[in-house]
Amino acid sequence: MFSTKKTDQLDANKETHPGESIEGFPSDEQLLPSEASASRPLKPSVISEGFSFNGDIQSLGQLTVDGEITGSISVENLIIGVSGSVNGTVQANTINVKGRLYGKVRCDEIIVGGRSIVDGDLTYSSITTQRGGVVKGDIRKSPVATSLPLEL
Amino acid sequence: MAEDNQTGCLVVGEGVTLSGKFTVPDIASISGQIDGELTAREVLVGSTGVVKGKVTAEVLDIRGEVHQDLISKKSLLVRSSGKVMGNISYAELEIEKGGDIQGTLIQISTSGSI
Repeated sequence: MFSTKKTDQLDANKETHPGESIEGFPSDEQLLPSEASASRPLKPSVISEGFSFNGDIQSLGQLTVDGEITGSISVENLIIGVSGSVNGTVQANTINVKGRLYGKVRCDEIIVGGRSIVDGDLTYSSITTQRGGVVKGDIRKSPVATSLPLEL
Repeated sequence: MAEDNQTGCLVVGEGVTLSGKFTVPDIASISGQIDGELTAREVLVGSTGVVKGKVTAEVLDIRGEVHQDLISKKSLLVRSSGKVMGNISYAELEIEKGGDIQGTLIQISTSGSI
């Protein structure tokens, strides 16, 4: 009973805010954009063509590989470009392969492009391959959506 | 599908269960169930179709289920409702989103030699 009355009062107070903001006080709405920018998704990372990387990569954002990576990758979204090549262990939510991917792969969704190669152990929830795409090795559909990526 | 000319074609309707070894010169259209070995030029497994055994074909179009061995000498198309399990050999592969493919995949050359 009391609590509902309180919230009513609060709402009434809020309604007066827009009027204040006109007089120079920033309203709640004006503050929101800066708060939102703090939780904005990470900018994509790029391993560009001709770039060869050996090691482990972890990111909560997107990684585009046009060069070569050997090692383990744990990212949210992985894009392997036409000239890109990844060799190692990969964990990702979504993987879009246009180049080559070798090794142990665990993902939620994978898209294999027409001229690309995926070779190795693959665990997925959803797979799409375009005509001509090559998928080799042991592949398994995971019954539960993999909650990825792992803790960083 | 096998329209006017049904020479060399096999059509297994929904609800039909066959078991044995089948050699089909042209198109095998499966909406029922086959247990055994199936060899055809083209195999179309409908959404209600189930094949348990070894399937060998040049062209495979799967909307239903195929268990165990599968050899596609030309193209293998797994539709969104398709389910393929076992040892899979193919020359050319396409999987629609939602298609379920599990097992060991081997790519063979288009001529059919592994």
